[in-house]
Amino acid sequence: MLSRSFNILRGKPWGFSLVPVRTYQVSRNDESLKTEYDDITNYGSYKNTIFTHRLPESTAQQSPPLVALHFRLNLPKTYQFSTLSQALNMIKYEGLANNYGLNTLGKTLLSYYVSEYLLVRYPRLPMPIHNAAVDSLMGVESLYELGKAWGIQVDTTSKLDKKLSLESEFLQYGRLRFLSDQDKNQFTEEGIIELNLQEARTLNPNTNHFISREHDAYASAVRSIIGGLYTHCGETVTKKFIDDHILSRKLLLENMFQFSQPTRELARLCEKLNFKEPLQIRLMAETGRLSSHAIYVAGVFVGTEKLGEGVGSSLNEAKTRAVVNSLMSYYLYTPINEEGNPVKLPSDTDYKLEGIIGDGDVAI
Amino acid sequence: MPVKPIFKPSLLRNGLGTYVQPCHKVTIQYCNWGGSSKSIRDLLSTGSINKFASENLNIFVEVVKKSGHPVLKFDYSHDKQDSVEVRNKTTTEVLKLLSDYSQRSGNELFKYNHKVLSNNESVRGVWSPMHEHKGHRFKI
Amino acid sequence: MNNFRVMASRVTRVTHIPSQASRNIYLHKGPRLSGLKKDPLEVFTTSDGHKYDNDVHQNVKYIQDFLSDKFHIGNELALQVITHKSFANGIKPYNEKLSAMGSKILNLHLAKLVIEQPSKSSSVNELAINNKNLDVLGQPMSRELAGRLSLGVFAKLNKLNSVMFWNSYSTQGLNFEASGEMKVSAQMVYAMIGAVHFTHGKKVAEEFINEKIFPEVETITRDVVEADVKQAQEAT
Repeated sequence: MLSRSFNILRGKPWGFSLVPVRTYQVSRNDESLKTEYDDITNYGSYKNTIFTHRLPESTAQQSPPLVALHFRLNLPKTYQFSTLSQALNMIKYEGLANNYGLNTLGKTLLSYYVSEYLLVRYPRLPMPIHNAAVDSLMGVESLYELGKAWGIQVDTTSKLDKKLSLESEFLQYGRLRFLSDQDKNQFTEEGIIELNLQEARTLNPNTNHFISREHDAYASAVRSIIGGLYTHCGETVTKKFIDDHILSRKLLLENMFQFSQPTRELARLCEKLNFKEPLQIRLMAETGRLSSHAIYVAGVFVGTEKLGEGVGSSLNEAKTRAVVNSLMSYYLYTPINEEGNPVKLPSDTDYKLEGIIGDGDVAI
Repeated sequence: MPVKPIFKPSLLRNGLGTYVQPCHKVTIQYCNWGGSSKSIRDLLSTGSINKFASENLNIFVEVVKKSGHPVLKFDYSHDKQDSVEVRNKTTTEVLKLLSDYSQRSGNELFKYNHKVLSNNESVRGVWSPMHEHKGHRFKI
Repeated sequence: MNNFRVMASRVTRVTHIPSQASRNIYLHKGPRLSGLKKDPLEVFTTSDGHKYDNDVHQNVKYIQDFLSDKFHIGNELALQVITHKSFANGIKPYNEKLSAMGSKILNLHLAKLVIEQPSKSSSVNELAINNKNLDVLGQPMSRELAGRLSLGVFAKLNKLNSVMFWNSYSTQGLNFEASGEMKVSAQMVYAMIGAVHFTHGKKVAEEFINEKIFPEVETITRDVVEADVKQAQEAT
């Protein structure tokens, strides 16, 4: 494996040499795609030769589920049915072009627009929460749910069954194809889930959660549909589509925080923000101290500024809630512009920087 | 690590941003011989089903010929299904059922005995006696 | 006596009462010791002697010269661009969010760029959708264009990482890659793109990538990928 180590820049004009250490791996191509190209930088000449053809537009147009999906998603007329059908195809070895490229493109588009939205709208979100939020909007599970909501169905009948039941050949082009004939014929028993290698790799032993092939396929189909939208209708339409379908989802940000040492974190945060006055937690109101149901209200203050307050049935609880509330009100801050509207995103027209840029989290 | 994430999936709000019709497939099952399927046969021969299909391009309409009483089957998003038997129904009744069921979400109907059903927290928050003016506060 | 001093410094640190600041506090130098306040002079100086508190213009000179007037960003932001999370335990504004943004816009723009380039030779991919050749996506060349290695080398060649506030794993004898400098430099380039993106918007950021980043990075990436392919062939 040392041969994969990196010393390839040795002897280049910039003069510094790199000793072999295996830290960076240059990505390798997927041999099974049998890619051919004229020149490494001649991007137009790249061709995955395992794919021989695309579905003719006239065939795709005759698939009722495909046409229904096209209309249900309200896709523009320029979006070809054949591309939509390709977006639903994950099968690699049957010559028909699959959604590999569309999926990659869709993923790139999605991660840009989702990150941009979160970074501008929630500039102070700590990075771990930010990543979880990105996952919550465009992770496999969310996209699977979206695919289900769009009414995409899996093609589960094998070739033989199709022949026997006289099923129209056009139906399959509007369905999600990721199962091989062998998988389709496999006998399954209720209550028993058999994981294949790919699924087993995603298994989390603590939660018993894994990403099933079906979920993955749905997610890939959704991403590919977005990728296809870009190829036919351009970026503005794609942005609108992502806005409508992905960014309109409700994000449960306030439930995503788990603090381990909130008071310490808040103290460090105040230090980072260069507050001159000391941080104080004061008791603001109380009732029933001697009863079995005491209530305390604690407030977090910096000088005369109140950062947050919390109600609890013990002094400690009130204090912790107050601290957590003030941390949350800092982290979940959303900038607004002078008119009181949410600030513009960099991809909007007439953008100017109105909000803030995140400074980074504190370490404790 | 100061703060750890707890993963919460985002919630779909169909209708906000865009609306995707939950009903994506209608199966019309009828018998070519039985008397209970007469109205369906009429609808098919007069082209009313075609008209329904062309007015609802976002729904995949399938017509199945099978002996027995006629049934309308509806497939909704998230694998939900519903079916309604339409034996001896008149053509107008069938068309009404067709349009009613194709506009449903596929969720079971239920009665909600409260004023608001929402994913969002109340904007105003809960009233707190502790934030009253000190003089008016109730002391234990 | 030493113990008492430790206690005293703890008390002053926690309460922040200005009147006590004039008290003689022991400021620790050298490796980190739990409970001791480190000397800010040392904390805010990098291993190669650059001081964070120096004149901002001096510190961000390389970045601003590279950006030129067209893509100018504020000095404060430029300072944030060259500050890594590892510096001074993250107490100064650092570039994590900027680079998260930068890497996304770079990836997107390069993906758009490569799929839309027409073929320079006679072989044309007839499976391209609407003249966009998606087969190039996921290939080593198109992936490495926005890769850490290419951008790290790019930063080094353009002397962008001459002043960079970060904390190396080790200062002794480790090379560009193993010391983490490559990774941090690449992150700095992402952050620079992110800063242009935040300041001027997406369109200008794309122009910036076209004009200032892509041509040179393409040459570097070409070398990187070709050398790697050669190495793979030798191995088999």
